[in-house]
Amino acid sequence: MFENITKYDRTTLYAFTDVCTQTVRRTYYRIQLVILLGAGAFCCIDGVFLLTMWNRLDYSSRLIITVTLLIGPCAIIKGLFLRRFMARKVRKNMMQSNGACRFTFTEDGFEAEQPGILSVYRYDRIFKAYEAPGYFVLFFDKVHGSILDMGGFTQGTADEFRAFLAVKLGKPVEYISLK
Amino acid sequence: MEKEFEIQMNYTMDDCYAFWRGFVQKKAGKPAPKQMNRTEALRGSLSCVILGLLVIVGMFWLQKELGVMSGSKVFFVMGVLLFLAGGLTAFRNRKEGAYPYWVKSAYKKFQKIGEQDIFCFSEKGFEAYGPGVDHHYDFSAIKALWADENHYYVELGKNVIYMLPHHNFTLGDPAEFPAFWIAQTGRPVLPVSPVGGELDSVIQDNKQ
Repeated sequence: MFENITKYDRTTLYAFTDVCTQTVRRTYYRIQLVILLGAGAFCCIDGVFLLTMWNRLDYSSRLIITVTLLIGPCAIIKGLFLRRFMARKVRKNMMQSNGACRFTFTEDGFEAEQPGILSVYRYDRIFKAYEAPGYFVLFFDKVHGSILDMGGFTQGTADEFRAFLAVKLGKPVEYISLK
Repeated sequence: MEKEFEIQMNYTMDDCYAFWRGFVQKKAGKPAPKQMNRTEALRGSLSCVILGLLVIVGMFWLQKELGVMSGSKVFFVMGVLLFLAGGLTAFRNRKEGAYPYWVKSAYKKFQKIGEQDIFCFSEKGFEAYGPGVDHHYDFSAIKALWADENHYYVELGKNVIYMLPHHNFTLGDPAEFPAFWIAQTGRPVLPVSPVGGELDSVIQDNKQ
């Protein structure tokens, strides 16, 4: 049996988002990144180019340039820090934020306990499982998942848990490096 | 612990539509937006189609007969947009009981799920049994219980709402559910779409 207590702080949630964007949400993340950086670069380049003709433009064109030069950098900044914005959204969507979650793993299944909430899972409910530096991440579908802090094991060790999970899932746990 | 209420999830299109009207189209607790009936909507759509056609034909006639050119492109585009918008809305409303795209999509997703969830209420709290996972919630973890004519909605937090249609109750009388909720939590059942006022005034009335 394994027991783990993981605190869902900013570092943990950022790690969870990092793994998501490299695995189950990779396509969605890349599309968002391309759109934000592409649109941002387009707006900035166009805006700067049209700025050189400022005196020859009418008021509506000047307004459009001003808005474009505001949107462009905002889109680029959001694209560059997209993972942080996504981590903030994950934190906002959590039912119990600022909490710790206790995980208990047995032969038949595992439980995730937070104040007022107990979830009991079978191992076949795990869609994908990954290991990142300092964490195990379990996904139940493309939208829901849990993250375990390797330093939070109160029963068993991370190495033993890795072997245990590989047996339960029928394959080794894939390693993902954090960016 | 003995179960007092059991709900077997088996949603219909009307259930998805009720959820859309209460939580997607607007925020829960706000009055329902006014909606046109089908006849009014069709009348409006066909008016847009006719007006769009008149603008397009009128622009061509003005150009051909009187040689008027200035501003013609703007009015032509407006006429085309009116025609297309009116035609699209008339096509969507052509059948009685047309559902919005979100509702049809949500119902299709629900139908793809093989195993249906079971929800239970007892003195211990709320339990949701699903494929491969069971959730047990204390009443303190439930943020609010909402209700409309034929449904209850258990709100657990951001974006987590369980819908309990009256016709899905397999144990217990749905009419007795509000009394059970108030006895367990001391909190009122909130209307999803209050009539005649904002939510705060409804809570005030309950306190009196």
